[in-house]
Amino acid sequence: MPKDMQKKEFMECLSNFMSDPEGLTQEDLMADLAEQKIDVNQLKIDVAQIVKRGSEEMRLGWKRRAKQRMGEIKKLFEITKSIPDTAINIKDKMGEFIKDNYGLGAFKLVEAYFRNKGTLSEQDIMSLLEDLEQLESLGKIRPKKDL
Amino acid sequence: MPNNDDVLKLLESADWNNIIVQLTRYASWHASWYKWKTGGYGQLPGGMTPEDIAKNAIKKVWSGTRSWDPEKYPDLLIHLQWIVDSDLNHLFNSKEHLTTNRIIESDEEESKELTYNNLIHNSSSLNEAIHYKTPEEDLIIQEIKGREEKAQKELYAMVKGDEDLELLLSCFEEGIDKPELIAKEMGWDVTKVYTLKRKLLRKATAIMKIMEQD
Repeated sequence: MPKDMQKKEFMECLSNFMSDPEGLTQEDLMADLAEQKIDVNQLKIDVAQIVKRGSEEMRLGWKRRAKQRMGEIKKLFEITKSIPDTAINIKDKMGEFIKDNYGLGAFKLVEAYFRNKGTLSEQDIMSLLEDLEQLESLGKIRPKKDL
Repeated sequence: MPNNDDVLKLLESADWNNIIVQLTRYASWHASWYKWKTGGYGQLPGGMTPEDIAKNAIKKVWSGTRSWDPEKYPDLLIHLQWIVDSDLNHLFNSKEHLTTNRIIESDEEESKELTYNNLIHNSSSLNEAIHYKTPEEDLIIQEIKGREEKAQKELYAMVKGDEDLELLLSCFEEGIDKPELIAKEMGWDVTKVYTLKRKLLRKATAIMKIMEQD
């Protein structure tokens, strides 16, 4: 960039000053757009649709991710079922899986859960994982990638 | 980075009716400046309008293409303005546009985008967005200077007789465009600067016309 292009120029200042809404009323802004033949009502309709669609898609995205993760959990249960209990430490396996998928924060919660419960049924573990899913979607725990 | 639920709640509760008005104005004035600067008149590249630019910026925030981190950048409008500038920069800098006047859809915009801080601190970000290369560089700079002098002359003629507006334009000549700084420079109350802005806004059509002239 040449040196003499570095200084903010007159026309740029004019554009920055005019585009900045500071000190202008809503009426001023609307009048400016009307002057430029921009249909404000149509803009508002369009943006409402964008917001509605964006909001729906954002929520659906979470559901999709949660569903996918629950599928992975179920798969893990299938594997552990096919291996004799003596050959595998299910608690450790679950701990590893939770650490990988939900992060260290969730793992600590689960450790406490295991400590407090002497024995665990498959149903207990499923409920625990469902709780974790809900906590994560509410942002109470963070996935591993955010740690 | 706050969790998705918090971001969603903030996005859903934002005043979109107000944001779209402000963002479209921003896109419109900045697009005019880009067109003026590059000597391109009439429509934006690819037949885009300022409304399209503003709406696309909002879509990008919702889709996550340009996700918003309210902890880092609390002002959603500033974040959207940054996207608008980045997109305008991309539109006007695409090599294909420069040679064929058509736009390209490219994922490479990240490498060319303006930095967010540039926009916030307003450090001549739009100047930096348009890159000229030697040997035509000097020629282009001279051409821009010539057009700037012509536009300035016309703008001063437009406000002739109104001493305050003339002084306001002189601030732009010094590179000062923030109301607080203008007020300080001129020894005015900032509300006077706002009044002058409204006065100048009533001449918006004439200003745009000057920016559209070759």
